[in-house]
Amino acid sequence: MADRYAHLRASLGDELLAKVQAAKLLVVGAGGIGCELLKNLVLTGFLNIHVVDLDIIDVSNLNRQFLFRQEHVGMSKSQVAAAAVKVFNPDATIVAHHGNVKSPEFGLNFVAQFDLVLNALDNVDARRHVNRLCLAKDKPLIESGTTGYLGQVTVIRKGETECYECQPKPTQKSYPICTIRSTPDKPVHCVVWAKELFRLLFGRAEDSMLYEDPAGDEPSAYMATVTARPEASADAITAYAAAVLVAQFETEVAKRIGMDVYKGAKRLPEAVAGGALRALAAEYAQAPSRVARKAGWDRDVWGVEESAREFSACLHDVYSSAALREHVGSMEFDKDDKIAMRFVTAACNLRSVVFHIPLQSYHDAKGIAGNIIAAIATTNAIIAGLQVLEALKIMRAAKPIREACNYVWCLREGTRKGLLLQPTALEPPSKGCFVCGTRTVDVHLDTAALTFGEFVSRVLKSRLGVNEPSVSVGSSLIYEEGEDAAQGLRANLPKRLRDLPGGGVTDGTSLSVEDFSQDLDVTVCVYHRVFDEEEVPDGFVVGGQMPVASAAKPSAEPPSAETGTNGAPAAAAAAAAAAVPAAAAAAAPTAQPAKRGREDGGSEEPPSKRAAATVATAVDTTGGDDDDDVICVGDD
Amino acid sequence: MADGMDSNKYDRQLRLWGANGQRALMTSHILLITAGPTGTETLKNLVLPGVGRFTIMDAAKVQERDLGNNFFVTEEHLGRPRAEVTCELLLELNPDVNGDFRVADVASVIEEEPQYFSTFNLVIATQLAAGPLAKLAEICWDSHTPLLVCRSYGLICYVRTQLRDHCIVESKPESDQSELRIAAPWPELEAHCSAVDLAKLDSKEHSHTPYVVLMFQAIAAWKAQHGGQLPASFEEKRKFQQTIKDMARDFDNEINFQEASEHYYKAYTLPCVPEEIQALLAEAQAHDLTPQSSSFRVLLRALADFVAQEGGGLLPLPGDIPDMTSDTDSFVALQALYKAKAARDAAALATHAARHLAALGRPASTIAPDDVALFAKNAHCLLSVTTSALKQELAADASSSAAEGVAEAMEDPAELPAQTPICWYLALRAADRFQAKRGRWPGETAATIALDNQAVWAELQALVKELGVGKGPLGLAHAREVVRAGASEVHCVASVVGGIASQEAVKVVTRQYAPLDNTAVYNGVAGVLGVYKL
Ligand SMILES: [Zn+2]
Repeated sequence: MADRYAHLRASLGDELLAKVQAAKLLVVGAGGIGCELLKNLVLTGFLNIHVVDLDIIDVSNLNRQFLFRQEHVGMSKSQVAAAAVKVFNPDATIVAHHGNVKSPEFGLNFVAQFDLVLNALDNVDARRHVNRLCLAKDKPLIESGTTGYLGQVTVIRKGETECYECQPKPTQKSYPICTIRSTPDKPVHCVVWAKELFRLLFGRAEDSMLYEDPAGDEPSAYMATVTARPEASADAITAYAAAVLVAQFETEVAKRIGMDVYKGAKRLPEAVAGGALRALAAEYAQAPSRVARKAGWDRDVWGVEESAREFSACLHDVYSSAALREHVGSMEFDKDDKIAMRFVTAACNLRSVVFHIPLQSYHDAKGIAGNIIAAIATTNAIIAGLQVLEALKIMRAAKPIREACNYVWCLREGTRKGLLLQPTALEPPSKGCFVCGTRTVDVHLDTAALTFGEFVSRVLKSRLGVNEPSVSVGSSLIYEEGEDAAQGLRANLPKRLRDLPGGGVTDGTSLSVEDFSQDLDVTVCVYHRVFDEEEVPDGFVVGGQMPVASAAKPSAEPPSAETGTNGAPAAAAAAAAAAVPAAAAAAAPTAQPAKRGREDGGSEEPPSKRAAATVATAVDTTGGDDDDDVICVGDD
Repeated sequence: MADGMDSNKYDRQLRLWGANGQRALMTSHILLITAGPTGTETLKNLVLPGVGRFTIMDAAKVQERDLGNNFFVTEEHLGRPRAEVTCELLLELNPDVNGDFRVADVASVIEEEPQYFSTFNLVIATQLAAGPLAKLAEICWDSHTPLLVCRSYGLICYVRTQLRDHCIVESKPESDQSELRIAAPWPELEAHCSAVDLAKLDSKEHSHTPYVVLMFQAIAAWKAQHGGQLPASFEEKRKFQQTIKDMARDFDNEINFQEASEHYYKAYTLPCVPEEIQALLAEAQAHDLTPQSSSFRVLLRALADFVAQEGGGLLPLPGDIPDMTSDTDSFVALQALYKAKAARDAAALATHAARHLAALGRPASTIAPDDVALFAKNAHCLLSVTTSALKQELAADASSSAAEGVAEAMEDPAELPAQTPICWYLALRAADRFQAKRGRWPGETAATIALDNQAVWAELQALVKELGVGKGPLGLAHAREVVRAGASEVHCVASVVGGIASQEAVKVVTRQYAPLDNTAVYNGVAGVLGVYKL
């Protein structure tokens, strides 16, 4: 009895142990939860495991992704993790795949070989994709997620339980351009603005929301200032910094006040005096980053003086370095890049002063700018342990999965009854689900304004999670993607929906959308409607729901009433509605796939489904109400 | 932030427990007893976020059966001391952490060096048999050393805290903690608010006067008209709200008045010392400080003096004010007023603390000014947690502190009564009694399984009888499950216990959030976890 399987044989019994040893599993994700999961599976007797992850190891992973060491930074997560756990059982076969689970090599045929799939993912997009693959191939899926002290585990099985998409997903939050440019009232608005200013100064300026066509009707004066890039001399850079500061924080503000933009506003913005800004620009040597740093410097909140000096210091750093100078015009914001983050913090605070918005420390601005979600080792350990316990229940398979398995929440302080882990029964599939139910979805949009290309990228791909859409109206194919796709149809992309061939897409048109990579076949019914940009910045609404509250349906949130320690279900629910977008944070698809992986790197946020109560408490623990806002503007 | 703190590596967790919490974690020394999977998984979750130092105590050598469930031993380690091997591998996880080990039988250390345990900030005892555990718990209780007991047994997890006078400054309650003191203003606030002559303001100024000023004037006017009385009845409170609305020139367009009307109750709500804090203060006054008294105790005593003297019956002002409609100058002035008062209160508290420290022969610098300020700011939500002693819980009669908790839990069972976690708590205790009598765990030998089933069932019945509670849903099946598992440790269960236990350990050493009080039992078969006060 004293062999390596002694404990398992005693606890599980011979029969279950044999099933465990014979099963072939797929683990998607080798981050915080993934590391725990792989370790648990191997040490619980599973012998045949494949793992897929596209990320490489970053230094910020090391405090909880324990299979990785300093010397692994820069290497493939899946490969390092597989090698590390393999040591613990020479009988086990661990196959690592370094790649995106959404790519064709991990498609339906790949998934077909497994008995069970376990998700250890950090974004909604990949979760939706794996959900569809598992439904198509009828494989049980164990889904998981964590945020700070909170987390949850659930089991999905075609026809038996709700799928990952049965509950409407909270969508990423977009801010109307006009809020960012003219009427910010929260720190997050200033952070977004500062990132746009970063892009205007150092990145592809014409992609910035603050960009104005110099040849346009009424270009703002600041465009000329910004584009007059300085020589490398210190004086020239100081003069440039002073000019940009004055243009942004005095002239432009005064101009907008003069235009009566703020009539009836709660509080008028106040321009910063240009003389002061000029003097401060010259004092860049006393910027917070240049003076001797004491411990905790990143918690200090820079006021006007410090921010303006820092702003100037960042410009000096960039323009006096030949290497950095060369990249002006092509830089991308990266929260882990110190100069970029110092610049954004300084610009955000100057902007906040103008609009009377609370200022942020470097640390807090970074949290907002990077959509950083707290993640800790302890919660990952609990959740991954629970996932394996659910896997054992599935292996035991005496009952249908819906009866055998649970949806388990992990809470910070316990419910009224003191439960730290709260199981609830799994829900049956939702009839109206466009993925596993009716396969029909309504979309309201302006058919005269939206182009077909925007429809494909923003509605079909971003919102509905379609990977490789083929679109037909009636019997005629108007668009397709994939290996043998007809390229000629791409000519339809720039057309307005209304102007598409075959009479166009107008009010009441049904589109047939197919995705062979996901075995998905959906009817999209388009309804013409013109929205106010302030209310619906995306320009479209999916389903019957209006944009504001897209939280889970009431029946799906029983634990929320018990989460609040002071028994305030209403408050919890309200907070939940506000907080839900947090779950989608790292999921926000962006135009920078290379960066994406990095930002997603360690934030193991929960699947948004029923995440309401959990996320609400998570937000309380971090103390700010802005961390939960997803930063995404327009087509970002 | 503590020197050497790598804010990039710890970025995600700092967002949860802050620099204070991280500093506390990095200066803690934790003892782990038994380096099986339950122990090493718990410790792993503390090494990763950067605990300062750990010591592993274990007498066992690495065996074949460890390879299948312990992540911190491999085949090449067979025959070496488990404490040494796991210490080595755990240290590899994080170069910031210091660790050492002691190859020793915990039972003999308990007998020979009981004082050893009080040198740690936290003792984590895992998979320890009932006999030595009871003795260890008593030692920890007497020395006020926090103790965390963890075990995994087949598919059952168990975590128990034993804390005595465990003080928490940052309990981080979820409700709004701001305090405006409009109904009981200090002289500067009163002067500031009454200096504003609303009638003389132009319309822009009028609509940008912060609601604190508006409410102050409204309540002053009310008191003048009502013989100095605050609104008391429901009717009066409604009327008061109306007077605020009536003060506006154009209510629909004056957001500051709308805010005042929304928060009207803050104008007459008198600040007070919460009952829990009163109890803490009374206790602090009842006991003399000693040279060994913790900073928390000294500050608590100083707080009692503050409340009696400068505070005039109130706690120090927290000092934060919520955002409100206002022109910038007025808001900043108001904010400065609250901050200045909070700073004054904290300084007064520091003076009291310094006096007490001096009387004890300790320099005032023993308590850093930042810590006094943090204490003052959190004065309304301080916690001092004392769980029951394990010794009380294990008393073999109805005087056991567990009797009430068990009875309550049995009366309010889970959806599947037999799966209620309290049943598994009792079953584990029955197994412990079996082990104490026979020197082996039930189910360890295949030949005696049927006999063991009966023996454990008999222990279970005897146990509930001693506690004076009914059998409830308990049955032979519970005994059978305990026998079948034979004290085995399954890795995924250890992972769950380790996660829960390390979470509590973080709460204890960082002194943030209310910790578990006092027992959590998880049943991995049905997936139900119960928390009980035993
Ligand atoms: Zn569905």
